[in-house]
Amino acid sequence: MDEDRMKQLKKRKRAYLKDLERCSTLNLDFTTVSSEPVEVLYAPDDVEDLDYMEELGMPGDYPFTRGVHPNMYRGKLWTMRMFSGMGSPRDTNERYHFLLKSGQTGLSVAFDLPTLYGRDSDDRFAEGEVGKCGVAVDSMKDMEILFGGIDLSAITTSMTINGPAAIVLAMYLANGVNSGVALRDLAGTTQNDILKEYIAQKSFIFPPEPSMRLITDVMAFCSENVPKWNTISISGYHIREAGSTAVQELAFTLADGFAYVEAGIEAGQDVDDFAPRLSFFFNSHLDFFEEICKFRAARRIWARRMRETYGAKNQRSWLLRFHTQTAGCSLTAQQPENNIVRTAFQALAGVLGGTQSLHTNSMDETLALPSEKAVRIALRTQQIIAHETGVVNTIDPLAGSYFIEARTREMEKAAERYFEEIDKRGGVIRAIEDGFFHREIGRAAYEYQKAVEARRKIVVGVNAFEQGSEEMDIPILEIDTQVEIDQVAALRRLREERDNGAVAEKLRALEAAAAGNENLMPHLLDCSQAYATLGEITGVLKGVFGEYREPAYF
Amino acid sequence: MHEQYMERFFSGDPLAASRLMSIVERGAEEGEAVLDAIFPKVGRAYRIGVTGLTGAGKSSLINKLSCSYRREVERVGVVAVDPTSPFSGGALLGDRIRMSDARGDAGIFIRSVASRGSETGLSACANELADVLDAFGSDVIFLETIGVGQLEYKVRFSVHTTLVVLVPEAGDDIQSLKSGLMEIGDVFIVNKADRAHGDRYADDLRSMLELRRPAQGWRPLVVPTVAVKGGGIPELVDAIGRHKSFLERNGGIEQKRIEALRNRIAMVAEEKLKDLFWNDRRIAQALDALFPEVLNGAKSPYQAARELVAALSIGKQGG
Amino acid sequence: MKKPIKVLIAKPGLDGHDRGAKVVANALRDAGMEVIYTGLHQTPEMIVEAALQEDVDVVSLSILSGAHMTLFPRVKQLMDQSGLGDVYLIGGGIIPEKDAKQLKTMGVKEIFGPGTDTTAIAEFIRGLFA
Repeated sequence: MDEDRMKQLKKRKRAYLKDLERCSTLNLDFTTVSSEPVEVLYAPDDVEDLDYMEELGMPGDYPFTRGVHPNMYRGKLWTMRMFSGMGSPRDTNERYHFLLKSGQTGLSVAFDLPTLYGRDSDDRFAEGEVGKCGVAVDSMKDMEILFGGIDLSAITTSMTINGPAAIVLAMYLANGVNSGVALRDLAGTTQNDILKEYIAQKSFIFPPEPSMRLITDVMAFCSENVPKWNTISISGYHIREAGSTAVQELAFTLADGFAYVEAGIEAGQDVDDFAPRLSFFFNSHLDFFEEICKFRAARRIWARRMRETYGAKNQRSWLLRFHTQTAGCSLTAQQPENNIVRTAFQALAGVLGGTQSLHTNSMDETLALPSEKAVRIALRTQQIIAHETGVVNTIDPLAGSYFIEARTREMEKAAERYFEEIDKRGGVIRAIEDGFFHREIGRAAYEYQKAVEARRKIVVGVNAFEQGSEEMDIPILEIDTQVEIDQVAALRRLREERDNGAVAEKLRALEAAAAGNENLMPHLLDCSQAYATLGEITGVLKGVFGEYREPAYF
Repeated sequence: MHEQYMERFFSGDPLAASRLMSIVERGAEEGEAVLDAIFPKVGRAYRIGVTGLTGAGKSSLINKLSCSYRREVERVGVVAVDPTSPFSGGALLGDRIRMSDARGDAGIFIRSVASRGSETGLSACANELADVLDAFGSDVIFLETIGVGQLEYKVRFSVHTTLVVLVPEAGDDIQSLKSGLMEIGDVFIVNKADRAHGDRYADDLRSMLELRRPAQGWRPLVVPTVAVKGGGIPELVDAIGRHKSFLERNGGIEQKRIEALRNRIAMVAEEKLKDLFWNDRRIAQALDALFPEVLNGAKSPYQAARELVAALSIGKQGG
Repeated sequence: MKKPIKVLIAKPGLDGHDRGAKVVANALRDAGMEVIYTGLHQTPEMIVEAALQEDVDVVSLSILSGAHMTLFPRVKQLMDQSGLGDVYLIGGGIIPEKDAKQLKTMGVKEIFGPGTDTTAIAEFIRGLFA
């Protein structure tokens, strides 16, 4: 647009906005779900100086605002990855066989809470939790059962595990080797994102510094020996679920990513050796456009930082590839069927934002663990988006929208302000210890709750359009308590049958290594081979590293 | 209702202690009756005041200190004060959460209390709650103030050793520290000393304290700590021990006891006098009569106040 | 002196989802109550110990992990054993209606599901002492 036309436009827009003041406006809150103000209208003047090649580029071109692949969904649809796993290792194994027979090539493991905290099933904290939110893994024995009869060279395995990620990965790798698959042929992902545990999800075990060492050990070990392993899935999902705004999710997640890159570099690794194996995991919340802008901004920020600040040369190091899960926290217990609709919009935002894989939540998740029917509807939602809506036909279809481009930029700037603030506080770990993230997220969560209660924000079925008492006809899934009894019995049996002398010896070697500087992964593999339990290994490391207790700020 | 708890209290039942503290918190005659009943047993505990700015890590320090003391003594008490919201009258009592090591130990009794409008940085009844813990047999008691500036220094009145907790960022310029803070500390803690400039900060603090004339012969000590990781705790325990022996050598313990009791009598008496004064019908009448005259400029507030007080004594003589 | 209602908000077990607990803690503070939040990962023993030392009027558990049928009865049992039978036990989280009903027969005063208005929780607690 030439200068004169732009001048005319600005003049007309001013007049238009003036006229608007005379129009009546509904008494509603016109901010985003993150309480960010939005203009009533966006026009070319809002992105006047947009440099297409600099800021957007072609899909697959730096800075990847429009997507990480040149052909995006025409080349490959996103992976419809439904997170699952519950009950005993044997039940889960049966389910895996079923899924593989139905054509799925990737398995996703959800662990139960005791496992996520590095505790055995007979730990005093485990009571009532074994097999509840996922599968219990106490030792390599359980890995043998979990993946029994499955060719691990033919599948990829995604494991949602953080605090004890290095240990559980070692058990998986050791079992893989025993089943005849070479380390270099084992493929998959560990979440392994400990920073967001301190910030939001809270399943931490050790203090930040030794935890970062475990992560850099995994990074170094895998780039050398298990090149097909995605070592960290840097996650904003849980930060958002804890109540953050979209910008906070964006900024804190990327800041965590930078911290891992810096830790790897500091540990003497070449950024291009490990960075291609980092991936991301975001939340897709209700505010449709805000989410799409968030995904676009994330790709651009990461690419620029990786190339310009960390000097990565491999293009794959610049790519922000991400998994998306729809926002569990946006679902309501009231009129749960409405959650199908919420999830559909969120999933659509993830797709329009260019996600590489997607999990859609089930409508009944605020009531209990999801039932099979609810999971099926959630998966069908993705299939409808992929095959019926036509949104996959063209890449990044919202690019060039004045609104989308202006907001993408604003979110990028807001994230940069957070990066500066975090730097000023001495980095992510310092900011964690100071309670910075807790305070920021806690405030956002409470403000949102107050807005809902004051009915400045409407939640359908909760503070408006209520229905009184509703009869639920969603079947609720329950987990048999027998799982816990059996798992504990199996664990006790293992402790009697294994060579306890060998276990003690391997654990002592691990302890000595932990006190020094060598890479712990080979030792963790040795311990796994000797059938040391997760709780025993974690216990030894706690002895050396100490335990993390979170500072309380709220 | 307190009678039902007294016997159990003296036989060491923590529930009775807890319930009695609530009665003391509610105040009034019942609360004083409890304080009367326990007084013969009060005075055995060594009391440590912990003050400093918000976020300096007071609770984390008490967490580590109380665990450390527990290795040698039977019972440790903690009274932790958090601010009451001036808007709602509610409070988030967040100190307990930071005492994660201490709270698994039944030998450490942690009681959180809201400031409830008290200006002293201590709750109106924090000292009294400490008395209950004292009579309950605590060997060491920590009193944690909210970090609110000058007024919190009153914490000193009822403790043996005062710890002032600082952090390197608290103003890299030592000179800018409030002089009041500098005067009350027996031991200064530079917490989070592993941060940039932590060492220099501690050194600056030491040299500045050396310039001061030691109060009653005690030169305050400076101890760098990293409370969350337990760093510097043995050194801190040692410093507190040195201050304690100093007091013991110089009759300071007895001196503090005398001061504390005098202060307590004075404070309680003043409170009672105030209540008496404002609840007196003659005062209300006199004020009603005087106030219009102050408003229209006929009398100054000082004149009015003199006459108000006089109304009390005249009334007394007359009655 | 009138003493505000004192509430202990506790997160038992391993579940790390504390958004709800913190929001409720803030809301009860704003409703004029004195609130103690235990932080994460508390055993029932630790929770009851805190309730005892702090002499709270109400203990509120927040559980989203599915372990509520183990943890609520355990806390209630320990409270009774420690002489805290007169302290109200309430809670919230992802708790199916059927379980909530059963918990109420076991002495849990009330269960609040997701999406409960925090003012409703504050009013309920005030109602206990009216």
